[in-house]
Amino acid sequence: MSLSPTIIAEQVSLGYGTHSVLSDFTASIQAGEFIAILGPNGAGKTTLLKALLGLTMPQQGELSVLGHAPHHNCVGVGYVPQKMFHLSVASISADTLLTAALPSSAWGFPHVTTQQREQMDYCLEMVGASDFAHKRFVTLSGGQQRRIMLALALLGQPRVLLLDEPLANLDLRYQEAFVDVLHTLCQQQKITVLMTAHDVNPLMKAISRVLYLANGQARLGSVEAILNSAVLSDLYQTPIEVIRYQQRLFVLHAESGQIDHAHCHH
Amino acid sequence: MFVFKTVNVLRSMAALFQYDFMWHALLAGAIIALLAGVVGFFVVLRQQSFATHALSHIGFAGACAGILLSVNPLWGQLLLTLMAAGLMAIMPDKMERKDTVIGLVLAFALGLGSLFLFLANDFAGSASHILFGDLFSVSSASLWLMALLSMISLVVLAMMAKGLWLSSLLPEIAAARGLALKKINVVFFMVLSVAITLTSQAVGILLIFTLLVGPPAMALQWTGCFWRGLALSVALNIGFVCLALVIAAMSNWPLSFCLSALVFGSYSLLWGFGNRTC
Repeated sequence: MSLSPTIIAEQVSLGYGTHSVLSDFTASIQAGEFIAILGPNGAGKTTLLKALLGLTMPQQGELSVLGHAPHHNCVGVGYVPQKMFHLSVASISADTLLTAALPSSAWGFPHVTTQQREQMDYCLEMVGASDFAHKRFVTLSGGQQRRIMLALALLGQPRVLLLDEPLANLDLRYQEAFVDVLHTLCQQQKITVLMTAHDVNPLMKAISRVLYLANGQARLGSVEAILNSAVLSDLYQTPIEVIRYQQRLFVLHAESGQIDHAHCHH
Repeated sequence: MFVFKTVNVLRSMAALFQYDFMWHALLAGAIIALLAGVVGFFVVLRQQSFATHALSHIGFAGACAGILLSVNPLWGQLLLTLMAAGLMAIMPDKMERKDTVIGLVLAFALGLGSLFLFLANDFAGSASHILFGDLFSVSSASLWLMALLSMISLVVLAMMAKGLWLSSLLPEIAAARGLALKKINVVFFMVLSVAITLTSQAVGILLIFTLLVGPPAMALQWTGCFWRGLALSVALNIGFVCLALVIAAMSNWPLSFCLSALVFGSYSLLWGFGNRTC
């Protein structure tokens, strides 16, 4: 690939005050890559996304997204948050949510131009949400809600998509369908996708590389290069066994023989 | 017989509008309903009913202080509500025992208010005015003041409508976009303080929900679109206030009862019809 990388991290350290989350992280991610960010709770997955959004500054090192230091209000970066808001008080339709999220200044009245309306329809079409966009958001299924959130993130025609646990609490078939949509976006529009996940298996056919975070360390590489007993044992500093069964990966604590559900790939 | 009765009712209704106090009450009511309809729309979306409730009760002490010091109670109430709102708006979201702290401040403010009224030697009359409102005794001076305050509030809201709308619906996205959520909240709380103070002139600090929560919640139940929701919220508020004023003037019953009964009844009816989308 001759293009310059979309995301560059040079010896980046992240943390809050004296508490260090991730240290000495160096990576280079190309346009159109699909990266799964894996690791146990508290390993810094969300913190890394926040740093890429420009919401927290690296304590050390340099981070670059689309050629600039991360800064908020960057239309080139789309974001799907982990927390689902509670809108049960109102009959807010998915459509209305999208109009509220149209990229613009914070001043003045909400107003939708014809061009923006077309952009909204296009984004809804891309994620296959046109059929239910007129419905109340709270009445939609989990999978449908995630699609709406994805359409919302696509409104500014981003080059980079950051997704925080978009597969959490979804049934397997919805997980698969959602990953398919992301896969298509990656391939057809060369959008770079970084998503955090607890389970790598639904992502297998779509991802280009895996970013594994644990113990303040990070490893970036192909699924085979990272998700193996040697690398994970080194990361966790405890014997870890990776078992492949019918093209699915399972991470086990070698000593106890238990599948570690905090960071399993079941 | 029935026709005769109806004509009689209409005649006495028409007679009402010969009086200045009725026109004053209607005008003041409409101004308050307009502001409360707009502000309440965001109160419901942002789920800040408890803050609204607390702020109105804290304002009681301010209004009573005004009576003790022989100034317009509206000023005392507005000042104290604004100060409390400023503090409340900058409280961290995850502050420990936040509800307890607000609840205790609220209770203390009510206690303080009763002390001020006792010292002013004017307990019963003033207390009932502040607690239940009195739209029929609005002077033209107060009317102008209300119009001015509500105009300023609406202009401020109009300027930040888009940011307020996004941060109310999608706070996480708004934060990721770098919107100053805290600042937006502080400004909104200032506007909310004005709306609470004015609304309590009409229905008293005890019944502000009849205008700041009820009709806006009905509007949001019916439609989730920005303009339609806002317009419906304002229209409902103005309709309820005017209707309640006429009923109150004709029946001689308290306005607070007429209005709260109308709002409660309508909300119950709407509940029966279920929800709709826009």
